[in-house]
Amino acid sequence: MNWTEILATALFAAGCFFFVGGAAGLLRFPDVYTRLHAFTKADNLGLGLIALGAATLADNAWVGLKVLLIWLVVMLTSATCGYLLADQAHTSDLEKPK
Amino acid sequence: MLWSGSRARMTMLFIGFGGVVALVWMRLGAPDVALAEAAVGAALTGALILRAQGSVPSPLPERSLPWIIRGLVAGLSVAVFSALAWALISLDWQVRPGLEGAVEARLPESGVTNPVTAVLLNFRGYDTLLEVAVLLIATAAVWCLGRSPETPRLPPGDPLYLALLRPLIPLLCIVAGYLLWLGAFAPGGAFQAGAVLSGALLLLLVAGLPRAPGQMDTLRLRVTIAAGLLVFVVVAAATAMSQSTLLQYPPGLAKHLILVIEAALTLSVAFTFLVLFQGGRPAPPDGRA
Repeated sequence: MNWTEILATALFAAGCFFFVGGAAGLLRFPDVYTRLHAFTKADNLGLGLIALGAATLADNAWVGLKVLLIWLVVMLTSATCGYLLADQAHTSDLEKPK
Repeated sequence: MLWSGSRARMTMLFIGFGGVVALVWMRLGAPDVALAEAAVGAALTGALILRAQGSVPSPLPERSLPWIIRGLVAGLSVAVFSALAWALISLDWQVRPGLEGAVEARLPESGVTNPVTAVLLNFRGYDTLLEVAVLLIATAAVWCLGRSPETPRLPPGDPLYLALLRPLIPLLCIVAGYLLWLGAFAPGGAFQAGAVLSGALLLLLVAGLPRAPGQMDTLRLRVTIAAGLLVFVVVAAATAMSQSTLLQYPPGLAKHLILVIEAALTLSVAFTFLVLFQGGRPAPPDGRA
């Protein structure tokens, strides 16, 4: 195992930690807003770390850049999705913030 | 209420399951199938089911089934699983010669270097031709059922959503073109590209913009939906006349013909999914209901 692989594995492990945190928040938090908060934040960071790990393992810079571009797009969409869900929950009186 | 909750849960599980299946295909070394499963199986079918869920009235609250039915269902599941497991265990795993050899041998003649595209659009092009015809017939059937119900929309002018669309729509168009071009020599192709493009169209549709694509029953929309099949049939007829065999591309022209067919197919697939999502004939352009 060389240094790149060790670095990538550490990044993967850190990313998985944030994913587990996000999933725990999704399951344990009391209402829509806190769940969304836990989920979107932790997932962006977790996916970012995993994408960084994958980018360090990539064969060339272009593949690495593509992986990071995927992370960027997922961050954009998940932030907007979180906002849209919270907005819908708020305006439809489905659930008021506790 | 409980039932509608579980129906939404079923949809979400279906979409999640599609993602997992795509990963399984990837792990099995079939990236073409994985891409198709993720784009069409999970994302687009999920969107269609979600849409249908909104327009179909929620059924009566579900009564809890008697234990004997539940026991029968559980027993049947276990029996099917055991039969499948037994079949897999007793299968002879000796590698048999498949058709890979034949495909590999004729690949240089096909005009493309991706064997999957070669099979889909050259060696067994007539299969794909008929599949495209099925898509068109499905669209016609949906249109025959009536006008499209009101599409669920976000409140118009949501600044954050529009700010997301501004970079995302061009990016999705680029990805669709990239997948279309990539299909000649790597996993990708018309259906995947069409799925990505229709994702972009759906995003525009639910944004509540006044001139979102596919909302008007215009000649242009109909031509776009039929374009894939039309181009395919024209090419098939031309090859049948000049080469005496259906879809036997003339040597040297194969790559260009495949690309033309795939480009038309991409557009048609994208707009077909858009009108399927709308679930009926869109309103005519002069606004009559």
